[in-house]
Amino acid sequence: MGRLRRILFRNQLTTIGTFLTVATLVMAAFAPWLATHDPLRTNVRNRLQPPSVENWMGTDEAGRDIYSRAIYGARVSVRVGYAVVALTTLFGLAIGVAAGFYHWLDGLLMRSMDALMAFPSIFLAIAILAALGPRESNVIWALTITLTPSTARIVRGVVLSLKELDFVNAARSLGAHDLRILLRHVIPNSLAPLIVQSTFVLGVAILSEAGLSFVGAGTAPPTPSWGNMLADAKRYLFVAPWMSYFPGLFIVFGVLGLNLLGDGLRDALDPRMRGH
Amino acid sequence: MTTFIVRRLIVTIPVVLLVGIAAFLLVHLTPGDPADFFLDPDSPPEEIVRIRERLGLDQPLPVQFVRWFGGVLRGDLGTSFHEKRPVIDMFARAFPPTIYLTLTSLFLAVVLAVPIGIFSAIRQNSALDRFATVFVLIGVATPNFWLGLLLIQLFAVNLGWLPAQGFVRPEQGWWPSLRTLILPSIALGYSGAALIARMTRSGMLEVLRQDYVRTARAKGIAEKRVNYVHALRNAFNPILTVIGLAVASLISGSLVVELVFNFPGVGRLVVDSVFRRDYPVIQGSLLLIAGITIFVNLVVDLLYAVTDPRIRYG
Repeated sequence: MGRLRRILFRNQLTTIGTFLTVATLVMAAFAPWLATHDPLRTNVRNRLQPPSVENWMGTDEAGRDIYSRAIYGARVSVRVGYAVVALTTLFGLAIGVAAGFYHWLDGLLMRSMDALMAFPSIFLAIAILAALGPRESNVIWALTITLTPSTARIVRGVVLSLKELDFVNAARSLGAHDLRILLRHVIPNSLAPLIVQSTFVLGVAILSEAGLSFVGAGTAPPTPSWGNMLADAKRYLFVAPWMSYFPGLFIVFGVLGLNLLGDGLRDALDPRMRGH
Repeated sequence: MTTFIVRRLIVTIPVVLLVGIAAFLLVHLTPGDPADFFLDPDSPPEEIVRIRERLGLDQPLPVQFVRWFGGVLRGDLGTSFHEKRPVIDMFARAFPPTIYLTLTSLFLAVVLAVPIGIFSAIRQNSALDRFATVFVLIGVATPNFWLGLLLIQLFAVNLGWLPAQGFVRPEQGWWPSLRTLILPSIALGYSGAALIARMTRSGMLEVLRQDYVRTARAKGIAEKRVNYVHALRNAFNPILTVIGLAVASLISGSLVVELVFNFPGVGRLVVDSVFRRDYPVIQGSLLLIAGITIFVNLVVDLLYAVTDPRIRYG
């Protein structure tokens, strides 16, 4: 516990990162208690109102409370972000281990990852969504497919460097089979880079979800997400600029927090990378 | 050098093939029959059979793939379902705006970010370095489309200096054209600039710690010469790598930024095609965009060999 605290609050920037990341999680978890209004309740007589005591961040084109919608919007970002992290870690681990361990699979797997990386992520995600239909679960799959290659590369690198080390050779010559080496050596040694990678995958997933929702291929209205709130804001840019300020700030703070936390974790867990 | 280029080109072939397979499968493994997209939902069954034959959908998948990919290699990307025009013609129209946008963004990003990265590494922990850190942190976290909305509000709505929407083609005058490019390029280029500045700084720091830099200093070579000749030259490769990565992320980002500024580019074309379920256009754009990314990576790798002779003979 003491060690974790030292890592999460190791310096000012990391502390800010931890705080912002936890704040986003708290918003998502306690949205019904933090929101002041029903995020879906329309009130046409109160439409396009600037920020006030009643509506802290103003109202949108249907008179809905922007503050409450932004709080609920955190739920989409957190759900999509953490699901993508879980899935990319799972697939990245499987593909990276297979490529690192079995030489005959390496070429095929890594060239396939190269091919996936050749598609710019938003383009690939939007094409996948075109095929599967714009739904939250499909956003998760699309982002998983685009983000798995980088995780797989990291795991493969760890496996390849471990294979050369004496203690792994010793374990192997003592008769340890692949599964044992995987569980006892590869996974524990991949943990640090994977945790760091997770914070960056989360950040990219949140930005990409927002982008996809902004172009109309992600979270469908009326469910509020930061991206589709900004899509609404675009149509009222001239009359209600506040509609665009707040959802954007939530995205920036959420992603900034994850990046700061990720930098801190990397410095703490992987001293070789310090200062980068 | 020639062997290096040839070897590098050979590695690219399987990737291109896999990209083709991925783009092909995306359409052919999705639920539903591609023939449906050509037809009204209530066409008679004979009509469906006829269409399937005409499209070659009655052939086994590998045969279909070879036919389609063969066409692609000859420059035939198929015909748009919606516009009934060759996909390649639609690209010829949509590509230039996207290319201009990507290039101006890249130019802005490189011109801004490389000096920031170099100076913040040379003067580590100075005020400039702290400014660079904030610049990078905010740049990486800011969605380009949101930045676009803010820029429109400030420079188009409030100040009225620049147009908020659309693109003027350079044929209609370069100044009006450039004016339409400024805001989208800033919106798109900022995150790329942040990425490049970050990598330039860390690449430069890494090099400044090397023994040969210390030796150069110890020999009494002027600080400027050490920094700009001994160090910078060796920091080129990580900078090149990240510029290559930035091009890919700029192309990806252009899709969303084009929508913010109603830009008639590839992004607009792809998004419209998605909503019309116009598969040949989606497939073709995926292929072209992936092809460009592969090409950029190839150029970056070849430039490595130019800037770093060790790679050529490695």
